[in-house]
This record gives sequence, C-alpha cells and structure tokens, in this order.
Amino acid sequence: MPRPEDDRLHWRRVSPVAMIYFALKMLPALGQMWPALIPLFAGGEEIRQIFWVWGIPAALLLLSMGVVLYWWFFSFAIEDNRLTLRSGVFNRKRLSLDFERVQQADIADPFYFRPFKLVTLGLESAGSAQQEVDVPGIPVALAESLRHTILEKQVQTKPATETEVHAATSAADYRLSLGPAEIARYGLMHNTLLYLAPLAAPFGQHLGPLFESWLVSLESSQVYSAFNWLSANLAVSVTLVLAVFAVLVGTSVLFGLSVLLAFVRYWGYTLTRVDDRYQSRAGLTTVRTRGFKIHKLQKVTLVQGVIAKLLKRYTVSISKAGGIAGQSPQAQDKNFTVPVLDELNWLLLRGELKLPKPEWTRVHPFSWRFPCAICSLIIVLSALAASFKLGAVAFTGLLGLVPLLLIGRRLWRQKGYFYNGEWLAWRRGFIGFSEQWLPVGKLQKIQLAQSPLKRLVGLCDLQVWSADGRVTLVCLPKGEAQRLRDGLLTGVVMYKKPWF
Amino acid sequence: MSLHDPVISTDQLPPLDNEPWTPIERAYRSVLRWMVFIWCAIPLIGLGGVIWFNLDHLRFPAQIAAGVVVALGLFLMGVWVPRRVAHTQYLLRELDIHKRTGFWWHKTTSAGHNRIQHIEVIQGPIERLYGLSQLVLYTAGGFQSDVRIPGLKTDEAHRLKQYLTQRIVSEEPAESDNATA
Repeated sequence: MPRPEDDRLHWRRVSPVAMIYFALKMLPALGQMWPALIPLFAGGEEIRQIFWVWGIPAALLLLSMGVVLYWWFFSFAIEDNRLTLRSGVFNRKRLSLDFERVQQADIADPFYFRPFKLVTLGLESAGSAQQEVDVPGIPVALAESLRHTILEKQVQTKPATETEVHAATSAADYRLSLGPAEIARYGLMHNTLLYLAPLAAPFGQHLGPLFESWLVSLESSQVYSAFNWLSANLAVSVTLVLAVFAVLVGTSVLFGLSVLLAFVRYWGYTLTRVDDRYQSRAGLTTVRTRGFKIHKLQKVTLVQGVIAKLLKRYTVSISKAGGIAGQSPQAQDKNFTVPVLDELNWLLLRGELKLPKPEWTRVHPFSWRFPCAICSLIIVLSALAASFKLGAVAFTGLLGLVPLLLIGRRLWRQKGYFYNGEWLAWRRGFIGFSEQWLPVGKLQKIQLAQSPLKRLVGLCDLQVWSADGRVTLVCLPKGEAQRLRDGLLTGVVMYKKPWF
Repeated sequence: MSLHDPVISTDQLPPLDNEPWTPIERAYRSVLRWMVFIWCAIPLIGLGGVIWFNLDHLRFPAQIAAGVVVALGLFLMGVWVPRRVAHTQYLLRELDIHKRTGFWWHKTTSAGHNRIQHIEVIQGPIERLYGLSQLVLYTAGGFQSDVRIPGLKTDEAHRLKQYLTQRIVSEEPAESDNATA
C-alpha cells in the first residue's frame, strides 16, 4: 500500500542498462543455491541430461525475470536533504539517507555503463550502524550534481569546513600520480593469487596426465635438448630441471595475472588533496572516484612486505570508522588505499597527514624470551626422548634452536611503539613490517591486561580500540603502560573536535 | 584540521590507581554462583544419564568427567566467584569511566564520556531475583569495544545511565561548536 508521502516524492527509475549491474550483483546469491546441484551427482545420467536441456535455460530465465523485476521495483527520489530508495520485489525495502550523514560518496564508472554515459553513485553513511547505498545506471551529470548537493549540505552543516565543492574549482594542494611501472610494482608486491596456488592441488589428478602427455610431446621437440644440457651440466635429473621450470612458469603466470589485476584496479591512479579533502581516482574497466575527509581518519596503516622491501616501496591504507566490519575484506576494500609509494612520496604523504618521524620504543624482551624458552624446552625434551630410540642422531634436532632463537629475536626487534601525545603507533614485522598509526583523540576504549605470568614479571599488555578495530601493544613494563594509558585517556577526553 | 591538537601532559588527570574505586554489590556473587550452577548442571545431567543407564565402556569415563565437573563447579563457586566479585570495581570521573576486573587475568578498561555512543541497562532473570542490573556502555569501536559493569543495584544502574546520558548530551553542542568554529 503506498504511503501518503510517496505522492509528494518524485520517484525515478534507473536506466534499463542497470539490469547488467543487478544481474552481476545477483550472481553471488546464485552460488548459495549449490545444494540444488546435489541431485545432479546423485541422480545419474538421465537427471543430468534433463538439467542441461531444461534446468540451465530455466535458471537463466528465472535470473532474467528476477533482474527485470528488481529493476522495475527499484526507484529513487531526491529531496532537499535526503535520498530515498525503494527496492525489492516481494520483500519491499525503503531506505532514507540524510545527506549530512553521508560519510563517503563514490562515483564508479564500470565499462558496461561507459558507452551510455552512465555511472553508479555509491553513498556510505556515518554512525554506529553503517549503511551503504548504490544507485546504479544514472547519468553522469545527475550523479555529479547529487554529489555536489550532498557536499553543499555538508557545507551548510559545517560552514567552516572546506569541502569538495571548493576542490572541484581550485587547484590541488597535493597531487600524486602513479604510472604503469608503479602499478605493476603493486601487482608484484601484493600477489594474493599466490595464496590460491594450493587450491590447484585437488586438480592434480587431472593435471598429472596432462603433464605427462606434454612431456611426451616435449621429448620430441628441440627444447628438450636444452633441458638435457642443463641436466648434464648441473648433474641433476631431467625431472628436477623440468619441475623447477614448471614452478618458475607457474609463478611467473601468477605474478603476471597479479600485475594485470593491479592494472584493472589502479590504472591511472591519482591522489589529490584540496584543503582537508583527499580524493583518489583509479581503474581500468571501472573508474572509481573516492573521497575522504581528514577529520574522519581513524587509522593509517603502512605496510612493506618482502617483495616491497626489495622494490623499496610501501603501501598505505587509511581507514575510517567501521568497527567489526572494518576487519572484513569488503570493509578493507572500502579503505582509502595508496597502493605504491617510494621513499620520497611516503615522506611527502607523511607530511600531508601530519605524521611525525617516529622514535620507536622497544617492548620488553620477555615478549620473545618466554615463547622461545618454551619452544626450546619442547625441542630439547623431544630430542632427548627421541635419542632413546634413534641414538645420538636425534640431537641434530637441537640445530632447530638456532633459527628459532634468531626468528624470535628478529620478531622482537621489529616490534615497537611510538607515542607523542597526538599519535600512537605500533610496529611489527619479520622481514618486512607494518605500522599502525592511531590518532589518540579518536580512541574509543583503552584496556590494560595482565596475565598471571606477566603480573609476576611486572608486565602489561595495552589494548586500544579505535573506530576501525583493535591494536595491542604487548609486554610493556607496568608503570610505563599505566603512564601511557593515562596519557592516551587525557588525549581522548580533551579531544573536542569532530572525529566521526 | 582535526589532527592539530595541542599536546596535553598526562599530569592533567590523576593516576587511576590512587582513585577511590567503587566495588560492585556483593549480591552479585549469588548471581555468578547460579550461573556456574546452571553451566555445570547441563553436562552433569548428560553424564548422569550415561551413569544411570550403565552404558558399556562409558560409565567409568562419565564418572571421572562428572567428578571433574563437580570439582570445577565447587572451585568456581567457592574460590573464583568471591575473588571475581571482590576484584570487579568501577570508577566514574568527570570525564571518563573505568572498570577493573579479573581473578587471574587482571583487566582495567577505560573510556572517555565523549566516546560513548549509547548506554543500556540490562537485567537478566537471575539478576532480577537479587535486584541487580548490568550497565553497558557502547563505543564506536565495534566488536568487544563496549564497557560492561555488572552487579549494580538496578536503581544505581539507572542513575548512572541518566548521569552519563546527560554528560553525553551536554558534550554534543561543544563538539558541534568546535566543528563549526
């Protein structure tokens, strides 16, 4: 039944091209219907035949109908102060989003919208219960004007705060552009596809015969003589040479794909700042524009992994309020990321964010001595027990103590914290490192925790909750931890500026 | 810009440990004992069934397990509960609130009034029997970022809630003033 206020609102429908967007959104939901496929495996060839002939077309038809109905029932209305959305076919949903509560306004430009000059406007609201709204398939001009309206409302709410309206018309105070070489470095630094490599193991039984047939064809080719030559010169078997070659090819393919994904995501990356507003723009297929105001910053994370260390590059992620959602991959994707920075650009950005040059204070050596002592004891006892059966050979296991102690000490040396009244930073790592920087005034909760053992040696763990998750500073001397806690608390209660 | 805060010395707030902390109600011991009793009773009923029906091979392990559960329950009721309640205290100051708790693992939790998002008073059925309530202060830190003070007299919990709500409301205009300044 229509509500009385529906009549005064001017409801608009998005472009029919948005059906592609809705279809893509619905695909993951189809994945949840996998139990329906069980009869296919259990039911025999006849059932499978029926599925191919009737099942797939029926599923496609249902999906198409669902998409058309969803598009038909999806409408939006723009008022002076808010955007209202109606969606859902059976389960009707109505969502109102006040412009002044909008935390982030993104415009995404996917490739399938580009020929029609359409975009997706993504809005994210502030508050303890975050809401995200996507309005797909609207004209670029409408999306831009909506974005401007939202920013204008924010100006009216906070007259002293400069906004992106100003940003659109004035030159940037800070600009960072990343060329293809830098984006390729990002692909090398963050190769998440490597983690997928073990997933290929279940396909081993199919890959094995394929590999064998490939070997047979290879034996008759001239390339095989090169492997033979290598095998003869290195005095190792041809199989080993081939295995190393296969691993190298596989790794190269994974890195190549990772670089390709990096291009898709960060092609033409530019980061600009006008007054207190940062804006990034990047993407190959979907160009995403993301805005971020400095007062909403909750945490800055600087990361340098092993490959990044070799390439002398860093990645910076700036997060805003998100709570538990802040830890999920989806929320991580919503972070404001600067994918690659060399030393000079990191120093410039650090200056922009007003991060000080840190002087790290090490935590107590107990943080590595105790776990290493326990592990050493286990190794020694295991070697002793094994020596009854294996004899003196078992004591070669004690060689494991050396890397254990070296790793433990290295992990400890990489740990450290920094506090200067405005910022609290925590650093850890092994070969690379990660640093988490929290603005003290925006901390939500502070906790001192002491286990019985730590109480015995006079140590404490300090845990701080920001609006983007928790950071734990381990093994601080009790007095130092209490002073730090009191200092942080002072910073929090004295902070009277907007933080969310 | 918001990140240009002046540095404030830690001397502006007195050290927490020297403050007069308020213990929670001793009646909360009974609430905890009931809860321990219920949590122990559930496995004991299952184990009792195994012993009663004299199932092969399981009777002896079930007797051992039941003995462990009873011993653990008695230990929790006799030693853990009184010490837990004795160690649970809270401290309300003009600008912040604190709670300390823990029998073996000591924890002191602190939050500024200006970071509290909303406040709840919760009363379970056992707490209702003893006229107690739990005050929960939620911050914007998400999971586990709330501050829970159990074992408060219901009236006291509501008075604390009212006081803190007023504090939050009175701080809000100051924040928006600063925002627009």
